Amino acid sequence: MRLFETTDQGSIEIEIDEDIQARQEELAERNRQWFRERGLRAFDIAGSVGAGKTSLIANMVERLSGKHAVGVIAGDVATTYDAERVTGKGARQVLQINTGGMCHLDARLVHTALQKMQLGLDILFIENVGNLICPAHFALGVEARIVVASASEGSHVIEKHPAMFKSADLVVLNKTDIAQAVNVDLSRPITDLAAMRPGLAVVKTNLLAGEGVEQVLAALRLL
Amino acid sequence: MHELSIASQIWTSVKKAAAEHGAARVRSIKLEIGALQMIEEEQLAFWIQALAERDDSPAVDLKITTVPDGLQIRVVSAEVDVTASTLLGRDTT
Repeated sequence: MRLFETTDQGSIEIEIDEDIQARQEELAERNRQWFRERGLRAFDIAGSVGAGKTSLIANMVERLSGKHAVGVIAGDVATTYDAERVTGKGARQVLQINTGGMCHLDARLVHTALQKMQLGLDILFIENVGNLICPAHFALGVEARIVVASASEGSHVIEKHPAMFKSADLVVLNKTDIAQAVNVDLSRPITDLAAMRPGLAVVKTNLLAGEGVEQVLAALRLL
Repeated sequence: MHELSIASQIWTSVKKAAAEHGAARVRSIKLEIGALQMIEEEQLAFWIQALAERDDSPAVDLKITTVPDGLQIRVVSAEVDVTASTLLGRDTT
């Protein structure tokens, strides 16, 4: 038996200086390195459920697959519907990540999927989980993030989601054909984006009809 | 929306540092949080408190500095109670 007396020595301040986001950034950089080593241009496509992410990817794959080896990773909480919609459009490989409950992809999940990607791809589209909140805070290590917003989300969609649109490299404003039907003035989100991110490229699309896709590809320097 | 997982990471970091200093309890935590993280500070404080109570720490005071346009979540320092244990004797019988 050993007998101890414990005495209070008082309080001290201990320096910790740890950025808990740093690990996320390390993982994103690992992906960047992986893409660079393979000459693979990767893009993150984010946006709300139903905004047009899968339509955009399907359109871009169709236009690019003649001259490029394109891959797609689709992310969703459940189902393989998005991957199925893109399959048969010309992509060399289509993978689906089901996150289970996570509201976003992150660099670690993407890295896991990359281990299953075929060699020889030169373009990769990664469709993020559908919402304008969570993906904003998780860099995947891609070349650019495209955020798709649609007329049916209302005139104030930009103001309501500042973190997401501040993280965008390109914004696609989709469903322009139904703006009037849903009583949305598209000049409002465009003005809000200009105020929030002066100089940020914005492309209006009607992806069901394939309109605006060439401008998106040009903005991404994929043409 | 991710306040619980962020709180969990913060608490893990602080507990580890406290243990390295032989500290029994955490009194306060200083954080720097980027405004673009859009973290709800009350939720964060709630979850850190819940984790602290689970580990027998008393009420933990959060001192948060918000960094405009920043994205960091930095655990700057923590105030901890340090105890010392003195061996009084052994019974070898």
